[in-house]
Amino acid sequence: MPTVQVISSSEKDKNILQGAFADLGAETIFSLDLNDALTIFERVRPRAVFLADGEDPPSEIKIREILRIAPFMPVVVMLKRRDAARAVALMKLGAFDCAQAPWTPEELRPLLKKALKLSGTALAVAPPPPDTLRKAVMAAGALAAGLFLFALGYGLSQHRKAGAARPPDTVELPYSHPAGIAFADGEILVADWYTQSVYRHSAADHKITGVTSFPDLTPVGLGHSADNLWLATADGRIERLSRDKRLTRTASIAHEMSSLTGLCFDGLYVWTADGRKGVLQKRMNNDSLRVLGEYGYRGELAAFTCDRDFLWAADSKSGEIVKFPLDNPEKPAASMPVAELSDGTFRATALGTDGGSVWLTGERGGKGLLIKKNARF
Amino acid sequence: MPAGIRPPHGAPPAWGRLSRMDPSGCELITRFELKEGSGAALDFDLGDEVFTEIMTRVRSRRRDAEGYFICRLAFTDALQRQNLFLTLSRLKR
Repeated sequence: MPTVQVISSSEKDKNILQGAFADLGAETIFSLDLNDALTIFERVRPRAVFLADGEDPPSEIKIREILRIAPFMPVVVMLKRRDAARAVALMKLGAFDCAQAPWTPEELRPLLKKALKLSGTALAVAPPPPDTLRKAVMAAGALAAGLFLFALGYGLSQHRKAGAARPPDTVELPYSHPAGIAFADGEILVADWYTQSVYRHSAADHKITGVTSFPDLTPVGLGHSADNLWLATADGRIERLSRDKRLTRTASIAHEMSSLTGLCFDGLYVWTADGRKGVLQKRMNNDSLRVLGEYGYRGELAAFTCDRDFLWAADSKSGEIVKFPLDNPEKPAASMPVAELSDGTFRATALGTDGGSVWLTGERGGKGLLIKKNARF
Repeated sequence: MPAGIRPPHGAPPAWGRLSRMDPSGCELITRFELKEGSGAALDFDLGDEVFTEIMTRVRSRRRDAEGYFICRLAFTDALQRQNLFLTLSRLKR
C-alpha cells in the first residue's frame, strides 16, 4: 500500500481527502503546514506528496522545499478551482500535476496512479517512422524474435545436456549454523551465529569471496535494502550496517521481540517476525524502527523474509513456503510445498529472496545448507 | 514538459505534459479528454523559448492504465513547424 503525504491546514479538506485516499487504497500521512511536512517527510518517505493550493506558505514555496529534499518526488497540487494557467505555472516549478476541485477519488485516482510512474520528454529532430514503416519494422522484429526464440530453445536444450555447468540448487556450506541470508551487489550474504560472521558468496558458483567477523555479536537474522544490511543479534538488537566491504555499523536499535525469526526491507518498511509468538511487525525505516503494525501468523514460522511484492514465510508445520501480499499480511496469496521443510531432518533458519528465487538456509546433520527454490508460484 | 491546452469551441483550458516531440507533432499526456480529429492550441516552453498558440490536430488517442489520455497531435501550421524544427535542432546539438 503506497503512503502519500497530504499537506493541508483545513480540517474539512483533511476529512474529504482521508476518505478519498482510503478509497484509492493509499495510506495517508497528514501535515498541517510545511514545517510539519518536512519533519514527517524524512521519516515517512512517502511515494508522493499532495498539497492543497491557496494556503500559506504558497504552493510555489512548498514545491521548492520538498523538491530540495527529494528532487524526484512527485508533488501534486490540489487546486481549489480549475485554472490551467496556474496548473502549468506550478508544473513548470516542478509539480508533477494538478488536481481540480472537487477532490473526489475519481479525480485523484489517475493522479495517484500516474504519480507512482514517472518519465520525461523524448525530444527528436526527426519524426517517428510512419505506420507502414513501423509495421514493416514490427514484422522484421517478429521474425527476429522467432529466430531468437528458436536459438534460445536450442541453447537451453544444450545447456540442460551440459548440466554440470549450472550451479546446484542445494549447496553444502563450509560452516554449520547459518542464521540469516541477504543479497547485495550480486553476492549472497549469509550470517552464521556460531562463527559470528557474515560470509559473502559468489552468486555464480557460491564460492566464498569474503568474510566479515563480528566478535561481539551473535547473528540471528540478516536483511538487506538498497543502502544497508540489517543484522539481528541474539541480544535483542538490530544492527544497521552500510554495504561497504567492512560492513560498517551505522546504528543499533533494540527490536523488543522475544524471538526474532527474520527481518527484511520491502522497499519502504522494515519487517520483523517473531516465530515463537507468531507475530509479524511492520516498522518505520528509521533509527528507531518504530512499530507501525502487528499481524498474526497462523502456523509454525521457521523463517521469514520479504521483497517489494510479498512477505514470505517458511512454515515447518505445513512444510510449505507461503507468500502474503504486503498490504494484507494475514491472508496467504499462494504456497508451495518444499520437501526439505517436511522431511524431519532439515531445520530451516532463514529465508531470503533475490527477485527471481527464494533461498532457504538451515541445518541438516550438523551441516549448513543453502537451498534455492523458484519464487514464481 | 508541461503544456497548456486550449480546446476548441470555448471549452475551458486544460493542461498536460508533452512526453515526446518532433517537428511534425507531439505526444500529449493529459487527464482531459480531447476528441480525435479535433483541434487544440498548445502553449509550452522549449529550451529558453516560449511557444504559444501552437496549432495542432488530434490524430489518435488512447487511455492508459492510469486513466490519462495519450494523444498524438500533429502540428498543423507550417511556419510553426519550421520554428519548432530550428529550436529542436539547436537543443539536440
